[in-house]
Amino acid sequence: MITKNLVSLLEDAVRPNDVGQVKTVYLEVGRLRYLVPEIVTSCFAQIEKSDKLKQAKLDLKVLPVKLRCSDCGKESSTDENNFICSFCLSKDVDIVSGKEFILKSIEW
Amino acid sequence: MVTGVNMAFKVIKENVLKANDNTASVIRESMKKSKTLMINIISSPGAGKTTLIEKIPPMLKDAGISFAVLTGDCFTSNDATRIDKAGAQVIQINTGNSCHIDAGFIKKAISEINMDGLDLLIVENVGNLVCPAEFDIGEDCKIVILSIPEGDDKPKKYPLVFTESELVLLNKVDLLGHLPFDIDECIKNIQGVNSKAPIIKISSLKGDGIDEFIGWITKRINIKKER
Repeated sequence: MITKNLVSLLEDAVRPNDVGQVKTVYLEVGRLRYLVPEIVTSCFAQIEKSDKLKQAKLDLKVLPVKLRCSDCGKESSTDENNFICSFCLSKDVDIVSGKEFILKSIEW
Repeated sequence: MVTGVNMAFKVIKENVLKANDNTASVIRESMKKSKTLMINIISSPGAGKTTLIEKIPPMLKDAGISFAVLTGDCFTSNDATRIDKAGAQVIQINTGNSCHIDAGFIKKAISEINMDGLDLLIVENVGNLVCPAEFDIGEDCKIVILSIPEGDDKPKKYPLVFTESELVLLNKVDLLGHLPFDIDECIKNIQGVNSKAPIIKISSLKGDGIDEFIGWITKRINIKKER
């Protein structure tokens, strides 16, 4: 279903005449999203799409989890699933990045 | 002058789940109008979602709360039958091969319910700690249930569902002491990914902590009504 959404956005993007045969689709995915790049890639290869998208490869960039601390106001990133401010060790943090799933751009 | 480069680039910057999120916004707007609190209950299969929902109808009725239940399951209507027997208005959502409920399923289901004067809409998601966390269905809040037999490390393994939830229910606490489950470690793991959500210890089967859960819902309904 996710791949279907992606293809539907891509079909809109490639509709203009000046867009040629797409080579690369750039995606950004937050680390907290449960997307397995290999699975998205294989779904994308199999799903029905227009000629302009048939040769396209996915380039999936994983974005780290970024936290903003409510106590000291600083931003830090973490690879662990223990969300604390790396400056003042406060637990009062908001996740400002790490949940994205963005179709960033296409190249043809 | 145009050079011979035959490569070009287009910036799109679009949320891939845009279609779902737009539908979720429509649902949220309709819940705002009817002042209905919509809760999205998520857990692993067997963690006790249905048992909890079976338990609460008489208590909600005593508290003067009008409510309906949408229950998600891939194929069966077993849960709807159980919830119907417990005296709640219930609609079964069969998601087929989908391991989660998305906003489209909810939009269709609520068209079959009279939302006027409905205080609470309970959505029982498909049993799964992964995908349901990723989909906005127009709810006011997600509530995650973690049951003791699943182990105290689950918040570390499936952080997003705990991060996204406004309340954590620790279910089957009547089994504490019978299984190798460290409750302090579990609470530490939950707070590691969400320091704000309250944690209520319950037993859907025995009834422990359910009144505290009803109290939380009542408070949350009142907040919604005041908005």
